[in-house]
Amino acid sequence: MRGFILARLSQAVVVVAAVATLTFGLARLAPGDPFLAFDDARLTEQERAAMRKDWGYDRPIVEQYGRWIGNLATGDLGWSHSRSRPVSEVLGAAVPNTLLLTLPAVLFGLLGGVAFGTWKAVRRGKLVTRAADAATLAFVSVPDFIVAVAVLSIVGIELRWLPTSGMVDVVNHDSMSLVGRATDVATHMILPVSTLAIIIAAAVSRYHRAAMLGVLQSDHLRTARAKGASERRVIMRHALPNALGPVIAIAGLLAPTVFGGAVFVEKVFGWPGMGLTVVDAVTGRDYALVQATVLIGTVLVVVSAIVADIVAVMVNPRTRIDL
Amino acid sequence: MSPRSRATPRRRVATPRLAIAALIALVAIAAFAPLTAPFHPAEQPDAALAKNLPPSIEHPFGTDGYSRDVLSRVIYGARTSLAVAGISVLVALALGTAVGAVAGFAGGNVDRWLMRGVDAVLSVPRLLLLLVIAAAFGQLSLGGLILVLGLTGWPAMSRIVRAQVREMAALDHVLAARALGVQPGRILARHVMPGVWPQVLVAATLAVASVIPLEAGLSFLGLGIPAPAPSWGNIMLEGYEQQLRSWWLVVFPGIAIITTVLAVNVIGERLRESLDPRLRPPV
Repeated sequence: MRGFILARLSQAVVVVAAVATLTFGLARLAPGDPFLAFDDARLTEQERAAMRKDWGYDRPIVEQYGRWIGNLATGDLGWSHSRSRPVSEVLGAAVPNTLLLTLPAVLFGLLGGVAFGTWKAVRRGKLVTRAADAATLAFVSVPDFIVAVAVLSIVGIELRWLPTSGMVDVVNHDSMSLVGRATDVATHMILPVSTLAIIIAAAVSRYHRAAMLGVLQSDHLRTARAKGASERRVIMRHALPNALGPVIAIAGLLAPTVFGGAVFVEKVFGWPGMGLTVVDAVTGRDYALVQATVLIGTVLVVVSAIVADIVAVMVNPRTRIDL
Repeated sequence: MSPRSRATPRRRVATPRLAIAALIALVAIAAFAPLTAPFHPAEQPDAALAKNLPPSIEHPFGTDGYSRDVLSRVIYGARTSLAVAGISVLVALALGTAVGAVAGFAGGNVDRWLMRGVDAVLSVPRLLLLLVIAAAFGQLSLGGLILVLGLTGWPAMSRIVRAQVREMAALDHVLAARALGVQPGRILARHVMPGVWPQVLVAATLAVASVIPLEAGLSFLGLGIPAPAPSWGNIMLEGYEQQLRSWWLVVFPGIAIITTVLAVNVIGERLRESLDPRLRPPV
């Protein structure tokens, strides 16, 4: 087990280093540099050259690369031109917000998806479940941003049930009590979190249904039934645990989906997390911020994949892999 | 005999007639856009008086903020979206098949290193890769967008091809061909790949179903198809930027995206079921 974790961790370090190199290389491959993007006509060419020198853009590429990696290692992520603050400060605010959005969404999405998938597998072939299968396929065909826009316009704008944008009530939040503030954030969370949770649940339920269908045919269930176990016990104790392993492993693979979904959900609901930050940074051509957000996003995705792998192995020792 | 072949009999997979018909209709409408669209997509009949009109007989999908006909823009947008999806999947398919076939057929260290590289790329969310590229290069041209979607799409494809190549390469007829001294390249082309193509077809179909939302999503973020050219995503972006007051700007392109992706998904699922009987419900 320790060898397995070490192998996965070293793989993760390689991936993160590769992404760091890639984001660096892309910036140098692309035409121009940040000092053309300013597009300030008042700046003379000498001033631009001076700025390049200040920011180290005139140094040899190897030196720039070395400095970028060295700075990363010491936690210096660079300067965000669009926000006039250190990148680490911008992300220090955005990352917790994204976790506040994604962690509950993943939790509810997994629980809901497993429950829904189990039901669809156990009652397979019936009219209701076939309709549910078709509905799920239809739902996963809807792009995340359309789901978010639909939830926003129907629940938020038409029905006016819940706040639709941001994380807090901008006007009143600061004058609220501690409990009041928590409630404020919680009500702002409902729409984005449930949107993301539904997206995750639909995907999980399809994988889980397939895994359950495989397990439902195995001989040990017949044995359990022959011994007089109730159908409920057969499903809950004998079938479900065997299907959970693959589902948890899949949940790790879903991490990019979750992150991608979060980008659109944050954009549509104005949730001030990494997704909104990175989209605004791309639009504002704030490359240092994009670079760092993508790097942190990759770290989060890689780490969640490792956690999912480890949990999957713990749940089902048969999936133990020798690397 | 493998255990699979003595499993219980399964239902035949029904041909997804409706999905195929819908897709053919869509492709035809998009291909003949100059004939099927009532207006030119950039035509602005009256930017002052005819903007943001709700659906009517003259403009069945309404007009946008520049008085352009939304139906025509959705039709021309179909052209862009379908072409981008189709060509980028072909690019991904070519690269993914090449890498997957080499890795699966060569085995050993070649396989190990290629697949490690693929795993590394796959662990980075595709959307993030696209965002970095968009940030580095600024507004992408149509060709650039296709290339970028293709270049970020092949790793997933190569995994599927590799798995299938390995399965095929282990079969007895391949061993027999090896024993007869057939050239490895010929074995791959004549004895292995014919058994791989069906799975590749399924993967390609499902890849189209995932790249359409991706392009639409990028355009919705304002980072995909550049503004004056219509795409389903950027029409919806305009609707979103108008605070969703003109519902027709969101609903009609949304329906177009969902219908297309659903049709492609249904076809892909049915193809997969017909190749793998275990996925079908028993008779």
